[in-house]
Amino acid sequence: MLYIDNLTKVYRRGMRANDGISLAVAGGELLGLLGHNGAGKTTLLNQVVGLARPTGGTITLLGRDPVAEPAWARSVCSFQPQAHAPLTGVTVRQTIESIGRIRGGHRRAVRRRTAELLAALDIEQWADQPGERLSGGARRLTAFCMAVVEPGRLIMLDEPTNDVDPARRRLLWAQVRQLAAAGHGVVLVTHNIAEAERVIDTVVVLHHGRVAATGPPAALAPDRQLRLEVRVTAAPAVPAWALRSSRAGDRLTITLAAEHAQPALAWAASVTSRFSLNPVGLEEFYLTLTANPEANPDAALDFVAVCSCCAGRRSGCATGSRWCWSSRSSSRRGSSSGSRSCCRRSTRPPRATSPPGRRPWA
Amino acid sequence: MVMAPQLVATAKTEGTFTYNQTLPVPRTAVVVSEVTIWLFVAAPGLLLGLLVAVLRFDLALRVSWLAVPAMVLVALTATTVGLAIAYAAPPPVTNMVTQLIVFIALMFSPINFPVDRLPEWLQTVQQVLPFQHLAQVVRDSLTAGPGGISAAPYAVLVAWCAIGFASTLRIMTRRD
Repeated sequence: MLYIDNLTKVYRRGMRANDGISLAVAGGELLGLLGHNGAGKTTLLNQVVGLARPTGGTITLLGRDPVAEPAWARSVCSFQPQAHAPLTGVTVRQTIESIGRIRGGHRRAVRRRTAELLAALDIEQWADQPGERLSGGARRLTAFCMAVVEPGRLIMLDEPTNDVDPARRRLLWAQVRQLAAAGHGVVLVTHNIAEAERVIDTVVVLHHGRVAATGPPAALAPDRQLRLEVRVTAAPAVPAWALRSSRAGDRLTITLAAEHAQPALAWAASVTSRFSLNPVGLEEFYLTLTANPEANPDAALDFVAVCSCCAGRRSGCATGSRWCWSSRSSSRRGSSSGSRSCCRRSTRPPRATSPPGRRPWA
Repeated sequence: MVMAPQLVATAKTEGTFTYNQTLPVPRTAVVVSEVTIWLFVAAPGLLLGLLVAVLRFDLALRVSWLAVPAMVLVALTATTVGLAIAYAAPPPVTNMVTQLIVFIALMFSPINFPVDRLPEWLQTVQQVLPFQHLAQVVRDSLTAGPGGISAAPYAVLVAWCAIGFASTLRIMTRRD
């Protein structure tokens, strides 16, 4: 659906916001774009909808060039920008319905869909309030509804959960997931990594305008590591199987390899009854990677070894991902240098059912 | 020329200006809708002003057929020039320029006083600026004398209107 190849954007003052970015989004795929403030995420989205012109590289959206046809790109792509939606003087319902009509929806269908969205996000109590009286979270949810009331083939959401309370964030993630299930390609920019990890199919981490890592969240997280959190006032000796440990107040955090789960549980139970053992998540990986990407090349490279697309074989897609970008890892490892993709498929098979427990609210 | 740019400056500050640029409608539609709204906003003030003038000052109007087109041209010129300034300049600059426009229009333009009260060099400058022409086309069309209506002010306003509209569109379709 969306292919971005070697995209570079240098602003007039010489700031290189995007530097050779390549990624692909298929229909039904939910791509999470992560990165620090100023990493180039919003610039990337702005180029797809024609707000900014690329300096180099190509963007292909549904087989056409959105750079040459920005008005067409905006019509097939629903975009929730970070900027505040114009809500002054109009109610939430009026705004959402207006955008639905502008996007070509029929009056009745738009009215029905608006009511559904308001109910699904639990914001019906503000539906008929003027926009200027809304809280930041309600404004953001309204902007989300505006973007998805008549969704385009591609949906791009720039930090849609900012200011939104935890309960409604869950409702919003469920809506995003439903849109992907209905076949829309979704690009999601978020800093809410822990929550996004549960809904996204593919992660792209941008760092200083470059793709620092990409792959499915499970493949990117540090390989089979667990984190043990123990609440204990005494200072027990850290066992030998601990890879790393840190202490803050009465909270002792230990990172360990998955094979040591049994002894870790036994040890934790022996020192306290207040402990938890969890897999190390995407956020951990993200922080390690962005803290010092050059010093931790293996963190960025892990996904190649365990890439679910080709399982590191660089041929034969296992999961149906359209393109599997090897990023800078291939050239670092001295293999397939010059080629940025490790495998390609022209078609995407139907989505496999998600593993149980992965999306608790879906 | 004052209110429209100030509201655009506010929209830029709040971020709604950027949001509107992402809407799936042609940029020309955004500009045309904005201009249309301001035409409707300007109309009641203009009519009430005339009404008060007729009642208070016993003004004898000889309304020409050009009155409506003249009012539309005046409102269009003021709006498009104002929008062009607001679209092109950052919000603080827009606010300063609009204050300057009020100042020049009220105190240094032959709108409320005859043109010969101005120094000669300023009279020359005012020939190019739209202010005195805005006033003149309204006066001429409402109090048309036997000598007919001069075309020159219309030409100057049409030129300003075209410049304003072209710049507005150019800035709206520009990409960083």
